[in-house]
Amino acid sequence: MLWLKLAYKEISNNFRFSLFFIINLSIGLIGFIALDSFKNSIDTHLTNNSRAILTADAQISGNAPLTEVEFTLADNIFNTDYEYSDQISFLSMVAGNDVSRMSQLIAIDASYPQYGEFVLQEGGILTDELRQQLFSSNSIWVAESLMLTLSLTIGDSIKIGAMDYTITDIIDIDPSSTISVMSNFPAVYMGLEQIQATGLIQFGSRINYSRFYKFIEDVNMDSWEDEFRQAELDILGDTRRISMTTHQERSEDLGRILAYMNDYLGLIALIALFLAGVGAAYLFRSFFTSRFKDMAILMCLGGTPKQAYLMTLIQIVLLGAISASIASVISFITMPVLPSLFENFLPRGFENQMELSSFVLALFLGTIGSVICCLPILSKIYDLHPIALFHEKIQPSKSLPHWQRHVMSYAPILIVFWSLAIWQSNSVMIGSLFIAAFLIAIFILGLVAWYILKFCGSFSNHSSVTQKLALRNLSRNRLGAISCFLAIGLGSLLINLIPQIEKGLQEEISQPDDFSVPDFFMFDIQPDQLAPLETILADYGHTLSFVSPQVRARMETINAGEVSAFEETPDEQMQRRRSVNLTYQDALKSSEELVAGEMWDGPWVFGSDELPGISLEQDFAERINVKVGDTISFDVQSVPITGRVMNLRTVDWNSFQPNFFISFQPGVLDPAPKTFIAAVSNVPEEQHLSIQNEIVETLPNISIINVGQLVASILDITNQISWGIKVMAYLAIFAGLVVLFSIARYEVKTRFWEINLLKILGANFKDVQRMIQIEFGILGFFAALVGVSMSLLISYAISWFIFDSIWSLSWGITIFSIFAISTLSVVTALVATRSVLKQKPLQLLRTD
Amino acid sequence: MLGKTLITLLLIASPLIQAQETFTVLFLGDSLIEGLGLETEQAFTSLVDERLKREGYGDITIVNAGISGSTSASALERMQWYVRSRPDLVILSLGANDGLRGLSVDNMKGNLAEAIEFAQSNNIQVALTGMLTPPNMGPEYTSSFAQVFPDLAAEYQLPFMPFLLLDVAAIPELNQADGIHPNIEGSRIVAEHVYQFLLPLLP
Repeated sequence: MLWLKLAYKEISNNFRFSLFFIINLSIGLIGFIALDSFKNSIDTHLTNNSRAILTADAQISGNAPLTEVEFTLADNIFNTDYEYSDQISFLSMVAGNDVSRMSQLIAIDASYPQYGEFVLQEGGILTDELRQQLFSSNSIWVAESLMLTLSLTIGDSIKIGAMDYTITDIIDIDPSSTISVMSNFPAVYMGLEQIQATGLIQFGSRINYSRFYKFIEDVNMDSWEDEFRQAELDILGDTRRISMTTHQERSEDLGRILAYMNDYLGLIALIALFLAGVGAAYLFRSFFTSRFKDMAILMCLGGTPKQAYLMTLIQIVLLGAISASIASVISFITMPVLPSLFENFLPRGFENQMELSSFVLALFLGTIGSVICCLPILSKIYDLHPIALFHEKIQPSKSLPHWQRHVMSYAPILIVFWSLAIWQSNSVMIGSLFIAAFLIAIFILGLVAWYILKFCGSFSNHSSVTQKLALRNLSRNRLGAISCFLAIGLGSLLINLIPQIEKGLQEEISQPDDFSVPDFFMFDIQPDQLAPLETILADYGHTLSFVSPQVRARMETINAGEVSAFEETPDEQMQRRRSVNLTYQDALKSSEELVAGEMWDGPWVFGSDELPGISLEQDFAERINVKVGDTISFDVQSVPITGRVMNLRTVDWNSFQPNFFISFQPGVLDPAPKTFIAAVSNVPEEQHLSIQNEIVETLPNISIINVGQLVASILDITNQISWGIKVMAYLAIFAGLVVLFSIARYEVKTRFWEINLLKILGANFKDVQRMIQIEFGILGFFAALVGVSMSLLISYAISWFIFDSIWSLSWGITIFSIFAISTLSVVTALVATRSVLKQKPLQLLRTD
Repeated sequence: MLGKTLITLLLIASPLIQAQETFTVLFLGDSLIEGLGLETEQAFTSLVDERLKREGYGDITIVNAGISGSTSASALERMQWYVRSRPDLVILSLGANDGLRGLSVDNMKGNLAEAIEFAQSNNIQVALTGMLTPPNMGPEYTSSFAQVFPDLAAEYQLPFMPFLLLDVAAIPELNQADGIHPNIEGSRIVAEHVYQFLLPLLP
């Protein structure tokens, strides 16, 4: 109690200083809470969107009724409480008005859908009452396209299998309709209990049985599919295969982008944590150092180093707790209001939620963080002697304390931040790498700072008095200047890291310049069907785009050796069949980029001495261990054809264009049997059905997949992700600048004694300002330069480790960061100097 | 130089130069012929080939012309490609994908007929394998689908194997996880049936 009382007294005695400290720390922590809670909100928002598409968190399905063994298998992997919904679906011919169409029958139970909105044209949003109506009679709900194709109205009946069913409503919005290929057939919904009566489920029928899960708690679903596959193999063997899908994996493209986003947000959380950590550590340490005089007095009066430390520590913890509480209260009040202020910029349905964890972390950083950050200085207290009282400016001893004590004192910081990094990034590897990179950055920054400051000292001889003073200040007060340099440098590093990664991710997510949302993908177009297909489309004012020939072949040898590389890949299918789809093309598509070798100019000349050229997708080439110049032989439908790899290319899979791993120079495969893939873009919604029906009538084998809705929903989420990535980048810059602002401000305030002394000695206002300007200009500029340069290296490394080497230099942000940080340091320092200069030199004589 | 010889040989002359000396049987079909999910040696065509060699039919060449996912619409174009190699017997085995996708039965019949006529007009013998489509497609569709094959066989007087996947289809133990494609065991049974069907057609 006594210590608490003493600490309280100290704080109230130094009220203005304490207030200043609290304000600075609060600003830093508010930045942290904002960044952290926004990150959580974006995460939740995207997760909800992606759940709505699957209508669940996860799904298991198989082509035979699911058994208890399989449910237990899933239970063991989920390891959480859940609700579930069962579903049976299959394709069948549905007949009405003497016309029949292939449809997708979906039998649902009372829990469908678990996420997302299912809306009927008459009944509206699905309710229990509507479901009961569906279950209690021979009624069905039918997709509008089927109604139009079969010229049906509500109340009509259609024949499914052996039974007649009455259409009681038309499906308006079906959340699950966007993704699967099967969903391109019009949906017919009925009750799970009713589907047996169709008589269609019998020996030989191809039926899909699914269970959809909704988890009560948030759980980490990464790697579940692999785990499930393995467990399934172990228990059920190879004959029976059921599959598991989590909502993130529902769409491959989307899953990849969501995974990037997830890692990106993890990184943001780390950056927020470290920014707050750097700011808080700097403030705490400065505060602690400024209290050395008091400690010396205490020790002079007979206190032990332990008591001296305890008293200061209690002060710091108190101030930290107050700051964290203030930051929490302010955040708590302002955060929920923010979305309404930026309504136009936010995606639909976005809610800013605050997770308790953000506040707990802020409080933790504010209190425990202060203790661990000050431990290294504690180790110096043992070297503190009352004689320090007679020094004009009290600093901890420059001699290094006993090395063991020193190392020990830094260990808790390392351990705590390491653990926090792992927790925040949700990954041991990422968290550890981040810590390692951070330590290396500290070392390099410290080293650079040391030499720059040393150079400042030797350069000072050739300068004017003010410059000399400024440069010598930096050189003499090297330890203090280094800590300021470190703080600004690390801040710059963290600030620039996120925009740097953002640029690469944005480029990955964005579509090529000539991108237009495709509405239809068409497969299995026979060569003689291209012309009639073009004619049908021309009647509606459309053309085929991205027409690509597809030739089936088997990969036989690489460099005249057996294709053995496949044996090492985990891709079982590939290993087994070695069957590949080849294409041929004149030039690269807009979605492709050459990364090695050259593109052919013109077709391969029949009878040429050269082997025909092959272009491989980069990752595929890596997988089969092939480089430019290698030869690959194929069995193209009984004809062996050998080609030489002429180039490697990357493919932007987000382009929604038909893309191939292996492409041949034209002039080789042209006469081989082939089919074509093509896309049709910009088809107005009202034409969809008639175009589809006309093609089904005249060219029935052509598969038409209506991808418009799928692409639109992926694009919608992609755009939201892109938005989230950008906003987080700006927020990181802003939060970082706020932290740097508080550091610069604090640094000047601690120079108060020295500035006043200069005034007493007759220095004028301008000279002092100029001195501060030079000092902080040098510190800010060089720290920012080094920090930002390192951020480029680290962001490149991060991209390499986490984001499949997606990286792209963002010059604009880099130059802006250096400029903004230097300017901010100087301006903040100058503003702070003004307030110090305004005070009377008499202050100097006061103890405080 | 290698490329030149190779390609010239293959594109101009014929994919199957030895066809002139031996009796060539070409299986024109889909993934069931290709042996999707199996090693090359495990596809039933390879097993039949092996069996023939073992039984002393050294001068018979089996060609696997299966393309996964292909429908009857590709029959004519592919028949035109392979006729250049002058096979002696074409086993036409398309239609399974038409059935799975619920494509028009009349259309399928027309496609297959065109291919048969083209082969016959080039003096190439054609044999036909029948196919069934899963019962979930509905009774009308499944029955009219199944009827196409015997009708064609009768019309063009083709040797006819009523169901390629006899004793294999829909039996989980004999199929891969997808429930459609035979596994190694299934492939052996198909090979046995095909072998028996083929024997009387060989010289």
